[in-house]
Amino acid sequence: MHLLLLFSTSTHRVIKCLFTEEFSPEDQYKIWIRRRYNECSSHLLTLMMHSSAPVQELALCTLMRFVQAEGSYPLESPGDVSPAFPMVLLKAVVDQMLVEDVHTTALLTRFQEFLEFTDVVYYTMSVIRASLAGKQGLAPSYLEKLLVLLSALHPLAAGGQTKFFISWEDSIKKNKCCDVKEHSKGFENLWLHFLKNRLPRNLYKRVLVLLPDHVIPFMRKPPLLIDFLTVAYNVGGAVSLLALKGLFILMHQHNLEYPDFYRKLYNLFEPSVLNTKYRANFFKLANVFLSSTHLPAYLVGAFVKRLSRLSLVAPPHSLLLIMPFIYNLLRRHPACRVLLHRPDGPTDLEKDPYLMDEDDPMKSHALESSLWEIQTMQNHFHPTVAQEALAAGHPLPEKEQELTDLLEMGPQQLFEREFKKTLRHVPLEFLSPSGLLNKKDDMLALYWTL
Amino acid sequence: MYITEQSPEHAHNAVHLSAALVHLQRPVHPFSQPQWISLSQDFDASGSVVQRGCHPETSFVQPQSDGIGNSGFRTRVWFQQLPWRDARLMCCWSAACFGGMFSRARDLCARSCFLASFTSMVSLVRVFMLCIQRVETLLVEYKQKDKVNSFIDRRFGEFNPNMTVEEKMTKRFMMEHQRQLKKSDLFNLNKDEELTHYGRSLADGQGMTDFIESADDDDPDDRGLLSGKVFPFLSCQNEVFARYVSQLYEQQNERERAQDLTKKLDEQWKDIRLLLTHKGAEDKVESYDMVVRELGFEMKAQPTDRLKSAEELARQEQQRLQSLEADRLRRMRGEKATVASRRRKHESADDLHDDFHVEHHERTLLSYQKAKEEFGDDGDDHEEEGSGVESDGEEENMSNETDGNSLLDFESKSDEASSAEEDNVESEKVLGQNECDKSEKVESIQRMKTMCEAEGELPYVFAGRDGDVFSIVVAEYCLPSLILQLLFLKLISIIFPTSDFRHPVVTPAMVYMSQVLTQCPVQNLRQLSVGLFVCNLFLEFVSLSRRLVPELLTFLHGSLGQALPQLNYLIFVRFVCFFLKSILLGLKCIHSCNNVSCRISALALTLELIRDCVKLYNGLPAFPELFHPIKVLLTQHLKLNNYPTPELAKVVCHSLTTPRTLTPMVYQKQKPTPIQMFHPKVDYESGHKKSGRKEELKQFQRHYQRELKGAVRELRKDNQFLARQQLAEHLERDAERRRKVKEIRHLLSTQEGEYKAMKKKYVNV
Repeated sequence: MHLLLLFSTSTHRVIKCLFTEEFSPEDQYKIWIRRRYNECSSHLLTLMMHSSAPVQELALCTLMRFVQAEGSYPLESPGDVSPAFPMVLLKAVVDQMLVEDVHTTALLTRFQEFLEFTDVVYYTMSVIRASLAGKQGLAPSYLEKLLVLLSALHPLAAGGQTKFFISWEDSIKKNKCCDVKEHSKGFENLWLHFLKNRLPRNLYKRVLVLLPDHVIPFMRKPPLLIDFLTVAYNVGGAVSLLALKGLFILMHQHNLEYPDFYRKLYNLFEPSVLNTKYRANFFKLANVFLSSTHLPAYLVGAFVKRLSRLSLVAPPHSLLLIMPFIYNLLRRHPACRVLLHRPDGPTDLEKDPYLMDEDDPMKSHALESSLWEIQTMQNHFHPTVAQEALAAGHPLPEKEQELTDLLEMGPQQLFEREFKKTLRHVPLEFLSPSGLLNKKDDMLALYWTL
Repeated sequence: MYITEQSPEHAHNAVHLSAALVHLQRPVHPFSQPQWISLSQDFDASGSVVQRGCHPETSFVQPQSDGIGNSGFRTRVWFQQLPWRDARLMCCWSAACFGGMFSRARDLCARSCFLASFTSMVSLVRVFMLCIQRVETLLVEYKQKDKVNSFIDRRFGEFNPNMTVEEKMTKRFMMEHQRQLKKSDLFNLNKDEELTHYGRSLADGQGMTDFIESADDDDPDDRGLLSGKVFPFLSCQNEVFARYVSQLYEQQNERERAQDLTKKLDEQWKDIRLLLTHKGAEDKVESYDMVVRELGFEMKAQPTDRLKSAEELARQEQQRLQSLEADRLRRMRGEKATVASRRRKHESADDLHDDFHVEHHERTLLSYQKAKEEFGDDGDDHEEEGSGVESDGEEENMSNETDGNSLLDFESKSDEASSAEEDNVESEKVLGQNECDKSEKVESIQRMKTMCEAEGELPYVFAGRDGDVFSIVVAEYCLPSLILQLLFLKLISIIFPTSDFRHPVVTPAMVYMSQVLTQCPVQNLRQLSVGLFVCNLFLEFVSLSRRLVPELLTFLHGSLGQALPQLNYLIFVRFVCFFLKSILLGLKCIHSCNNVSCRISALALTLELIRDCVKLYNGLPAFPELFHPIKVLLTQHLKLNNYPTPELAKVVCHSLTTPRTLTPMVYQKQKPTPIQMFHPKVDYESGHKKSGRKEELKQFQRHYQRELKGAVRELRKDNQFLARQQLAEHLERDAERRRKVKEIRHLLSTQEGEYKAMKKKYVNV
């Protein structure tokens, strides 16, 4: 340890000595000391793989100080255009962090401290890109670490503050490493390289969560992500839900044409949607997609009918979201109100004309049906749900219902809401109890005994 | 101005007046004679005008030119000052006042004008009245402007319309006469003066005249002499004096007589009053009254209630139950209590109706609605102690009978089963409780049992604070184990009516149960059996109200899916999110499986519950869609030949295929909204309610504005009136001047002419 410290303090002097090239005794000393320096840094790199996290972190910090010193006093004579950032050393450090099989979480979190410097970010990006180039079939653990690193990388945004790790001279400051365009170009390339890899399922989801807010705003050409998002959207289930937001941004801000978008959205409405943790997000986006009043009536009708079918298996807190959602759709599309009010329809149907299993909303015959499911919900055991369902029996009021509060409603909130209601009178059963299971026609007593 | 009958020639003035007004040269009448349009106006004391219409042949306007201060004359003057159009309108209007004169008015060019402006007639009347007022007030002021002296008419009774001319004359004379009588002249004998009494001549008193008359009745000469002495007025004056004196005398007599009578009456009253006041009689009356009142307030004997017969008691009980049942049904439909709301709140006499009232914080207590028992805090404590004591006693008794595993039969089995399988800590964790020892469990179940058997007292244990009864029960009677939790849910169904639309205890309990069914993982038989128990309990909760529980069907579907020959995710992908790890109920080979009976009974229970559900939800419109996944599972995937009771599954299958007819949804019929009416909506209360200072201020402001406007209008009209007056005067002056100039010129020219003539003459001469 002492040795390390000694080295780190003497680096300054060491590098100064390396400028001269004559082989005088002094030069020979310099060559010797430079070899020692190289040895030292390689030792430090191996120490980064140490089992103890503090040692790892200390090694990383020391190396980063080397990087800082080397940047200020380059080992080779600096070129005219590009400043001499110690790329070799940085690449070694980054590679060492991403090595598989070794637990380097502490290192990664520590390294994030250095990522607030603009130059470190820029050169880290180029270093990672270089190490990714030409590699195929990367291991999941490597990708996971890489994702952690990538999620911490924030490229320079237009008008953002620049902060330098190495104290450059002013003339050099106006180069690539503080150019916004170069930054976003490097960032984009890096992500596209990363997404070419085959990602495991959990990473896939994390990437999809990261994309809309973290990646797309910094990209120069977000449409380059179309392929990735389309594939993700076609996977189905929760992955599709997550891809939806990225697709929405592309469609909304970058004029993406997506064929059969609504058909796929229609097929996303499945019972599993109601139980995932992305439920609120999904319904929020679905509300946006279906907010247009220019959608054809058959499509909206199919969505409404599908949602009402979902309500048959939905828990109460989801029902409190689904029903206002349906009512809002019906408000926007008066043509779909036949679903609630068909005075001159056929009186004796044997079957619901709606076809749940049909993937194409156009062929689902939704508009020939009625919302019998909502009618059924009028008998729901939860009083609030039943009241909400009773609203379908009358013409809906014109004003749309606000959904934001309902989106976050969970079972816990439902339970608490029930307690907030204060009833003055608590009625009691008037038949006097006669034992736990001795009541007349007790259903429990039929199958269970004490 | 007054109206008299006069000859046509006398009325000539009036004719001229009206002719001048209407520019009518010659009044024409279809019948005969020259017809007169007569205007007659009376000014009463208040200045308003009374229009009186008379037949032209009998009544005419007579400008009273002989009197002084003649208002009729003034009116005429004013009429001449009016512009022509106004005058025509005035005529029109006055013509309208003469009902019979309509036809005659046609000859006036104003007739059409009258017809057209009939509606503005009323306002015209007002204008006219105001104009006349101005003539009397403003014009007078204007005339007296810049003048120091003014003529004031101080003749007695000149402006009093109640006096006749004769009266006025007499009064004036009397006053003049009295003025002449001065103190210095009182004893002047030289003056030829009459002797008077009370300002009346002694010779002329009525009594005297009577006397004289009676004395010299037959001597007309004497009388003639006497009367010949006095002035012609005096005879009249004496009469008046005499009448006055006699009146005074009579009045005095009357007064004296009345005083005598009162005195007499007072004396008589004193005698009688002594008779009336008698003390002994008064005491007796008071005591009698007391007795009467006491008797009035005394309790009357009442018939005692007859003991009721067994039949009657039964009927009464039945009635009570019926009313309670009706009440329960009402609550099930979610309707509000009607009786309570209809009762009016008590209002104090000092209530200011400002919606202020002191709030009482009442504890919500558990009670039957009819018999409103109340129990305080000590009741709680007592019950807790009581239950504790009882359970101690019970424990000893029951320990012989129970041999350690008198749990729920099914539970015990599944317990054994689960011990062989995975650890069941997880399910316990989900439900938030730790498993306790078996012995403890037994004890608490015993306690539960005793609690249940201690009949009516049990509800009191749960008497909690405001509102959240359920949470208090959970917190205070923290239940040690899963089974107790389940039994606690069962207790709720015993104590509270589960069919209510919304209930402070039952609704949260049901929400809790639905969460248990959807969120607890099912990984072993024990967990499955707990789930089935909750299903069964839930079904019991909704059995009366027939409410839908989607979670229940989902769970049963999942439970049924456990009996599949192998794991088939495809079936579950669409409808159920069941945590599948292994097949719990599958019976591939009976001998290779452990706890076979347990599996079989679980499956049987699932099927039974499905059957009950089908019975319960048969009438719902989405019934086939609700049971579709279960039906698919039963008909296509499950093979239940290995199980002992395949008939049950068939029965369930059959019940699922009952045909139904669907009718499209229509909105409920609504009351038609009434057509909007045009009669105003009167808000009687608003006037009373807005009695604030602000409103008052507003009213004042409005009033002030109105008054200001009126005043400004009046001032403007005054100005117009004055301007008109000044113009008229100016014109008059001009005309006068022109006339005079003309006259002078005329004079001068005649002089000149004469002079020239003379000159000519002279020259000629």
